[in-house]
Amino acid sequence: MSKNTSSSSASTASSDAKKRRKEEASGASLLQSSSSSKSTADNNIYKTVIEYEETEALRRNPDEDLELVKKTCEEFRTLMGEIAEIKAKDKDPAAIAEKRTQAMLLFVILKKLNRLEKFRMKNSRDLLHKVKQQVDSQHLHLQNLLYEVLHLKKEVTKCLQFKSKDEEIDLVSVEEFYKEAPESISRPDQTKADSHQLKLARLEWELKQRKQLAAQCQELQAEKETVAAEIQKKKTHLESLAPMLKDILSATKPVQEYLGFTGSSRVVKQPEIAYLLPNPLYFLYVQASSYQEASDNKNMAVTISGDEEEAQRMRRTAVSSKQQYDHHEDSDSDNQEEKEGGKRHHRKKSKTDRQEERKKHLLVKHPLSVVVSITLNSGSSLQLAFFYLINLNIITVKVKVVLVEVDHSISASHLISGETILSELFPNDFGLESPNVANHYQLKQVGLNSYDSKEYGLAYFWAQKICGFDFASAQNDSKVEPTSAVSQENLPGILRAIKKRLAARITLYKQIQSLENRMIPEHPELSSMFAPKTHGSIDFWQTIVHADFITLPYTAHLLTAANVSESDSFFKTVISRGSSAKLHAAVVLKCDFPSSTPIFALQIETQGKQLNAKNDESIRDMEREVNHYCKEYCSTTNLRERILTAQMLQLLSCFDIYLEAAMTSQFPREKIFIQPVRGKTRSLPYKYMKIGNGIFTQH
Amino acid sequence: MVDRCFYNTTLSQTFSPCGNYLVAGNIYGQIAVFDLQNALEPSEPTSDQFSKPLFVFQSARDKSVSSLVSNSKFLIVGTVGEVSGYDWKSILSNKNPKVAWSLQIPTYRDSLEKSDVNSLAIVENSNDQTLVAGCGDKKVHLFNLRQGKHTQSFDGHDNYVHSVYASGSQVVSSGEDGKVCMWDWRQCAKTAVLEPHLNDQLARPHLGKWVGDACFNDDWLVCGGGPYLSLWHLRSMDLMNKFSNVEDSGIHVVRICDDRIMAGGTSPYFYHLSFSGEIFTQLETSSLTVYSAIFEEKPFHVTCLAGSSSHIDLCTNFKYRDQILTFEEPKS
Repeated sequence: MSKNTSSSSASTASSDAKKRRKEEASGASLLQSSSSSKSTADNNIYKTVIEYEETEALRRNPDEDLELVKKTCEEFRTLMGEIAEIKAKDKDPAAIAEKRTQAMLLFVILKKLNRLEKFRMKNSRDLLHKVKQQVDSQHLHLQNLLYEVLHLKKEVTKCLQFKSKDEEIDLVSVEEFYKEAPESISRPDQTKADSHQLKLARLEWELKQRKQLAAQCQELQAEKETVAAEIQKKKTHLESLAPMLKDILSATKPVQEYLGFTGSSRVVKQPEIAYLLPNPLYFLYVQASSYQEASDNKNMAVTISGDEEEAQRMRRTAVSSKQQYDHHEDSDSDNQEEKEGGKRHHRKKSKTDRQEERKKHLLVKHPLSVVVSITLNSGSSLQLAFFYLINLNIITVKVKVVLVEVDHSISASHLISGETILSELFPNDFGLESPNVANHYQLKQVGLNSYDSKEYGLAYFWAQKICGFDFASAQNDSKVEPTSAVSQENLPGILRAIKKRLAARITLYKQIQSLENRMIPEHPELSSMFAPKTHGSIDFWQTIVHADFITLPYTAHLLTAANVSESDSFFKTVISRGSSAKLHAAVVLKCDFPSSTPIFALQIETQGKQLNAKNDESIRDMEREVNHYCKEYCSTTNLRERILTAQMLQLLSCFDIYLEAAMTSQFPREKIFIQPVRGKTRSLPYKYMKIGNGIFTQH
Repeated sequence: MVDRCFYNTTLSQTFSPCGNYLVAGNIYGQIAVFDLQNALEPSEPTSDQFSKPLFVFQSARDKSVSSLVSNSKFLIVGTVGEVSGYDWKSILSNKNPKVAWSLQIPTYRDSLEKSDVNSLAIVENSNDQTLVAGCGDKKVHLFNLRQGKHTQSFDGHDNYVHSVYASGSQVVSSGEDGKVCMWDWRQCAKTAVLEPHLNDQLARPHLGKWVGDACFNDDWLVCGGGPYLSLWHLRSMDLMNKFSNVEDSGIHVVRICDDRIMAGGTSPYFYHLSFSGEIFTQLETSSLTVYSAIFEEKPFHVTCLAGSSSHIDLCTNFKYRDQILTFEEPKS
């Protein structure tokens, strides 16, 4: 500490000295401002003195100087002592002046030495600074180099880890390669020593072999195709034989009868008109009537309708021109023209007329149709008329619903209309697209994208199946022929499904009818499972369209999860309690009700707020109750179709609970529940339990 | 499908002791085990958008799994009326783990229903482990895990307990009655009570007075629920900050992690905040309400957010959601 202070005081002293010098200098310059040349000379002297002292400082040995300082100090001290002595004794002023002069001189020496020391210090500081800088820059350089090394190491590992595509290719083993590959590829002299060359050679050999195999594969495929074509040719030949045989059979019938032969019982029972049916409809007719007979089903009837004469004429021409039909488009239309030639006088037609002509021809129906009607115990029935489009080679169906005891005046009548009642009897089967892949191109050729389903009926997949067509497993390139086995296999299941669908739709329809009249459908068994008294009332229930449904703010979260599509039915209802609380519900009904249950999207509007499953956890819980837990109430088969009623009952009770548990200030608590909220989720007691007067709990 | 999975609500989550697995429980009483390795660093690209669990098993009695914690040996499951332990070994080796032990929550004659175990926490001291359970019977129950015995109950809430958090000798519990209570389990005494809903700055009467969660560190306590998310000085119990920039209608999860506060609830976002109220990040969540948020550093640096949806969001940094798990049962 003391050393520091002394040094600092020394430095301040020196700086003071400098200042003084400067002041003196400037004072001098002020005094002698008239003679500026002199002042510059003074400056020069000052500079030279400093320079001289600097060099002197470097030249002199600091250790000697130290000795000198010590010695000078000692002398100075003794001198001071002597002065003190003289002052005490005789006070001789001359002796004192003498001594003082000596002391002053010594002081000058001390000052000089001090100056020299300052220079030295500054010098060594500068030196230290310089060396430090050098070290720093070298350190930086070292860091750079280290970083570079690291980077290079990384690059090296990256290179080492590089994976080439060829490693994924399975190659034959090395031994096999040398055994099988020709010398030109294997080049053993090079490859034995160089593994890279070996790899290249093996890859080359692999490529060559693969090319060979591909060529072979193509060859075999071509061969297969020719064989298939041959088979097809023979098949068509055989098929054309079948109607001819049938003709012979029908022709010989009178002879048989005359001779008293009886064929198999089934053949005799069939009316003659059945023989005029085209193959697919014939299969359907036979299978459906035998199914009806075997199950002794009074609720089902199979009949044939249509123009018998036309059919007979058709049969005759069909047999003779079958070959032509199958071949060329032009020959087809020529044929058509010839047939209708009698009516038309000028054979030259415009292009559009020809196009129309082709269209008509392509969509030609067989004059006969098979009508299957299915009746429910309630008396409502479904009539299915099956048509065969000869040239498109598909079956179409026209559906008619006959209802008894049902009022038609509701807006949801599309639920039981013939066009849609059988939509998606099986997943994605709307009957709007032809199931025969070939038709797509045929229709395109005549400029049609699809055919008019109103005029020609709907081509459901299942309709093809019960008539013996199996397009799904058919190969694309061959014409699909109906088989009796396919029809036999699929018919019972499909008829059952249709019946179920009809029953489900009628029950649903009645429920919706009741809801449109703002009444919950009555069903004692279901009502007993829900709260007996609810306060909400239905303001309205109406049908809405897909576009309206998807733009409602509270349906967004359900759109993908419920797989909402335009073919579904949509409804909207509003339930209100008092004037201040309204519950909006949007409902989606899928075609395959009741296996897909109706889905509700909910929103409660109260006090200017819109609460829904996107911003209120309790509404989400309510949706869970209605869309999921309700299924549990309707798990038995006789209740499944009544789920809509159950959901509405549940909705009414949940609405009350929501208002009474979460908005206690406005709605006095009437329902009995133990805890208004429970658990981390703060869930409301939506679940009704029939204990005493009925209590509500959380799930 | 609008089925029960669509309306799933995941209530609780925990990590396995090794940190490689995430276990989550939902309201249907299902417990799903997820492989984090597979979800975060899939070895082969899968066509599935969301990673499914390794397997799902049903908790005992099919009651909702409100809370989960784990120690080095057991997965501890809080359902309704009881806490049960599953051996981790049996969970990781077997698709039908068996209950190793179970503890009943003491019931009283006048209670009609068994009480929910809404929240669990573990306190370690010397060689004992104490399990703290915040329950539906308005009490906080303490169990000694080594002896498997109920040791004490804290009685002070007027409604059910939403959550408990424990650290050192202190336990904080927050309840439906709007109280946040601090307890010292060594002294068996209540040390402080907070009622945020009585503070005019914090109260949100339309949401209620309940407090969904509370958490503390050496100096600070954070809590939120019906009232705003707020920061309190632990020793003086003075309100320090109100986080009014958090958009929520109810806070359900609050955690303190070093110098940040994590908070979630009925909100489109999960928040990371500084103590002074700055929002570091707001993560979009799949759930309408986040009921559980847990994080670990090793072996994966991951935060898992779960709540009212079939999805669980994973964040490997604090910036964005990068993986989503789904609670859907894998088809076997």
